[in-house]
Amino acid sequence: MEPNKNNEAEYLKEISPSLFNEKVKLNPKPPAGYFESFAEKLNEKLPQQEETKVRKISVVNLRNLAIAASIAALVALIPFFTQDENLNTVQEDNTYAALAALDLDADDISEYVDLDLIIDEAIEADDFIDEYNTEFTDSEIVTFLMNEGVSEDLIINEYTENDSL
Amino acid sequence: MQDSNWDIASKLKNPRLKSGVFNELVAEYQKPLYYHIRRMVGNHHDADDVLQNTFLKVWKYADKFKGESAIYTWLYRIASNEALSHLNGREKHRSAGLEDYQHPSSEHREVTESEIERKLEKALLTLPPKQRQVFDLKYFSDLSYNEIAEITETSVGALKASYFHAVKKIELSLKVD
Repeated sequence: MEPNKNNEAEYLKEISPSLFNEKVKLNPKPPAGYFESFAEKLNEKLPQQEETKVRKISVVNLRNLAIAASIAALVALIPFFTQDENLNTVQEDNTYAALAALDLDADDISEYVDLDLIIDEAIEADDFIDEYNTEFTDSEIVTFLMNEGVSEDLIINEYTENDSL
Repeated sequence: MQDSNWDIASKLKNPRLKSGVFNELVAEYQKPLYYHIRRMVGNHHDADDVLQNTFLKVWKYADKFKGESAIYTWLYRIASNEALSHLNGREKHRSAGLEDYQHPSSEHREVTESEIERKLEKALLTLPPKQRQVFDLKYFSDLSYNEIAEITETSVGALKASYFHAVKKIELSLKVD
């Protein structure tokens, strides 16, 4: 590298002795006090730019937050508009339809629907029983059902089908 | 300024430290950048505008400095580009700054120390802006070809050719004047 550097320096001296025999300094002086006051003059312009930037960012964030909160609220409200009652209604309708296919009249169907619900409750009671390790005898279950107003014939038919007795 | 380039980069990204390190950069580099810009644009008024714009950009894009290069090459790049943009905008309306040199306002008139300096300042303004930039960074700012290549995003070979051409032109101007 040294030979190249020397060659370049020699070459430059050769083509421009005015510039390279003795290097010329050229620092044109600004008005008096310029450098002393420059930083202060510059800082006066900085805060405005910085504040504007911060303000802009906060507006964008608030807007996005508001949109996100609205969407979250809508999603949270969806369960309130879903059809638990309708599902029960659909289930009841299905039960009605199935029982109607057996040529049962409306009163009998009503009794069966009620029985269905009572049996569902009994099944839930069974789960409850299983969880707490308590057993009810079949007669206790029948007694419970009769106390709920279920006719004996229906109880016997139901339990005969399920081989519960 | 004793911090490494990495330290400076991390401080510039830190909102609590940014102001302090920025003021240190202004204190350390306002003079060399002013002289570089001043030699590029030819008069104090424009140099002041360009220098302020340079540091405003340094502040605005402080988080873009990654510390992989020296801080001064980053600063010189911004300053040089601002000066070139200013010259390109000015040249659309009139010639390249010679009018400013020949008719400085009495408010901003500067007195050079020697005749050779006066002639040299005038000769500089005869160079095209990019050649003027290369000559200034090499001859006056005394940067290496590699550093200038980083600032100007030009190859070292192209820079050497540009520099030698600039030297010849200035020598010719100095002899004629």
